[in-house]
Amino acid sequence: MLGILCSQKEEEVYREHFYSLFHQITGYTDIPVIVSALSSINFPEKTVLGYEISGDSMKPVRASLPEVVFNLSITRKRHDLKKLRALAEMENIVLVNESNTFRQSMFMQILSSNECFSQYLLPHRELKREDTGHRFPINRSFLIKPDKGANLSEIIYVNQAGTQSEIYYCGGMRKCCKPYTPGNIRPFIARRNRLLLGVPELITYNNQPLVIRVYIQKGTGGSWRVVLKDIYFNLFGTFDRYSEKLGPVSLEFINYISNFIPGLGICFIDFILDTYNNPYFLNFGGWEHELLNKNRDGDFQKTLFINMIEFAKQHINK
Amino acid sequence: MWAKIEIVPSERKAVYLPPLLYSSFMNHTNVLFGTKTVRSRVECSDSLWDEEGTFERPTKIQLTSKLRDRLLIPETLIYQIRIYENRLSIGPVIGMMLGIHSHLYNPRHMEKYSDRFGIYNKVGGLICAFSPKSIDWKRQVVFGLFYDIESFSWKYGSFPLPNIVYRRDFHCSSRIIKKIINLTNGRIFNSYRFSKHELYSFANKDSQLGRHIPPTELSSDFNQVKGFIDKHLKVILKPNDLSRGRGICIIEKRGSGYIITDYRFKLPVESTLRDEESLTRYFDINKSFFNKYLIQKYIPLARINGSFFDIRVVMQKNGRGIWGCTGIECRVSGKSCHLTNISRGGHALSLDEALRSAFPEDCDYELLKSRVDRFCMRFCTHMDTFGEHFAEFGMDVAFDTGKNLWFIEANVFPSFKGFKKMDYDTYIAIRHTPFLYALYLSEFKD
Repeated sequence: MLGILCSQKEEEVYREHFYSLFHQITGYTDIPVIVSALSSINFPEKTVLGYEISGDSMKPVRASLPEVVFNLSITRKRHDLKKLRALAEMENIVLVNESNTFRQSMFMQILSSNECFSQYLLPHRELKREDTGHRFPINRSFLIKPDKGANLSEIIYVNQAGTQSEIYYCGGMRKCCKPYTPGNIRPFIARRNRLLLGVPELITYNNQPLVIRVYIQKGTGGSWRVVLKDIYFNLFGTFDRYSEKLGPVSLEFINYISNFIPGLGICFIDFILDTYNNPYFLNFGGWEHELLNKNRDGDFQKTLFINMIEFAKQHINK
Repeated sequence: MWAKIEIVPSERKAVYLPPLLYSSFMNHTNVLFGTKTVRSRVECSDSLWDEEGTFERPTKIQLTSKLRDRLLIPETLIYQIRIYENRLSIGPVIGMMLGIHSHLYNPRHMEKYSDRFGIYNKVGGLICAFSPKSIDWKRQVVFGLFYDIESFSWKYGSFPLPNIVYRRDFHCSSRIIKKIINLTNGRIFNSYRFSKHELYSFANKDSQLGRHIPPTELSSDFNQVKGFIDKHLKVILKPNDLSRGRGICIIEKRGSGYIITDYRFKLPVESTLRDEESLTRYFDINKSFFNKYLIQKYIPLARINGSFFDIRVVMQKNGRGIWGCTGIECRVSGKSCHLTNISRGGHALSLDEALRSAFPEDCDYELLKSRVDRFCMRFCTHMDTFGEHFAEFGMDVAFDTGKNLWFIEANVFPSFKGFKKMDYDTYIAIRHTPFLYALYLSEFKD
């Protein structure tokens, strides 16, 4: 059985979605799927309360914990993380994506350990919230982003090209522009640990760095493949020419990263590009709810689901 | 001899040595690093000179970049080298095997392990940390972090499978442990984590040790548990697989009723049961007590100012492979609490202070201390016959009100929080000793 774990508030949406997908795919329905909330796991009994999808039906069940479980919850609550840890430690259960949010500095450091990736890494340093008196680059543009998580709307971009220095808040429709002074930035850092990245002249769109998000997933044979590329912040733009080389680069990244974090099955890598179309690593994340957005191409979501089932089949038959 | 490595860009696999070292070799030799062996050319380099070869003034040797890449050897460290007829060994290569939650192991997380590296000038080499899930078995490579003595920080990298592994987590399948045991020729220490029942059963096989173990059984059903309570009047129920005082329940028979002190929750819950029927109902609701629980006769521990205390003894194998006591602390329970664990509100005292406070009357304290010492040594040497490789125990023992010594339990993964607060030097010695033992297991011991 394949298990799909989500948070309680998403359970209804997820089970309806996967039920719909289940009926759209043929040749992959011999493995039942159970969708449940993390809170529904009974650890002493090793069972879970959820909705079983099989054949034509979806029904509430209490079942043994599935052999393969995909964690599609995005949580930072301590008691949820404890449950995920306990699940990961259970014998005979394969938990995919134990975590979906990560410390970004970790990936900068992992990639720095291999010379092959140095061309994709920007100079960076950590800005700890308890430190005062941070010094910021003069006459050089930079980004400041959270160390934890990959939320694009929490990135600020300080553009010091030309005679003006301006701060832009990245984040889709939310744009904010004000003159840059270190004083304007400090309150932003005071709340959380951040990373500062020195950037060259970037490809921008409406004064915000163009971000390309490449989604990758493990499928048949345990090999990684690119399943989707999203362009921020113009989801409907034609920027394919910029994203061409990112597929192979993303696969190189994930093949190296997964040596250090082997339990991953679905993730994304964000890139920004300089004006010569050179990509630079920005963020790494796991599962995203956005992948089940109903406005997305249905074929893509079927592929996502088929890859999960293929992965599960491999491990169930072992 | 100690050496620093300099890398020379080249597609050849070669090592360059100063004249005195070079004289030991023919044109080719096997260069060993961890479980990696690479056949390489050996050449003499005029640009290298014979240094003292101490840690403070290491000899410089050169490796080609090709050889470095094949050996996966970080070049910033200070290594020991050994020269034999047909091989050059570089090391030691010691691995700390962490848990399976690899996404948590980053340099910031690893900082808490950094206090162990005060001993680096005695050990040297590569000390890396990795998860059992980050082992590439085919290539015999591990992916993890190593401690860079140059920058005093942890860095990511890939390394050969270490020759010696210090196990620091026990959520790994026995299949993987067996593989590591085979690959390291048994040099993975703390190879097994026993349950309490396994421990008591094995310790009881030695009659001298058995005398200090309270009557203990695996709980199976109500009749058995009730029979045990009726016989011993005050018992403690403890989970077979947990530590730090978790999941404990104390039941005392008083007249026809029972007093229950339940420590399974955040705060202890005390209940009074009138009779056997109430006790039956209690166990009907709490059937988990029959699943992986032990029932043991309760020992009335000696007290300090009305609070119970026990003794935590850290036993470790040292740099000569011999068991020794690296630290002792006494843990005094919180007021009106049976549990002495620091994590449950207990506090620490030295053994001297504790014995003098508990037995203020004329008492041979040295005799009491020697009893603790003899028991713990005997326990460790007995455990060496268990069939696994142990090098570290946190042993919990206690004196009762009659000054009899009792064995509570032993952990292969003990906490040292109390030592850190009470006696930092002892704490550091405890942290250093496993690395000295790891060195002893390697070919680089003195």
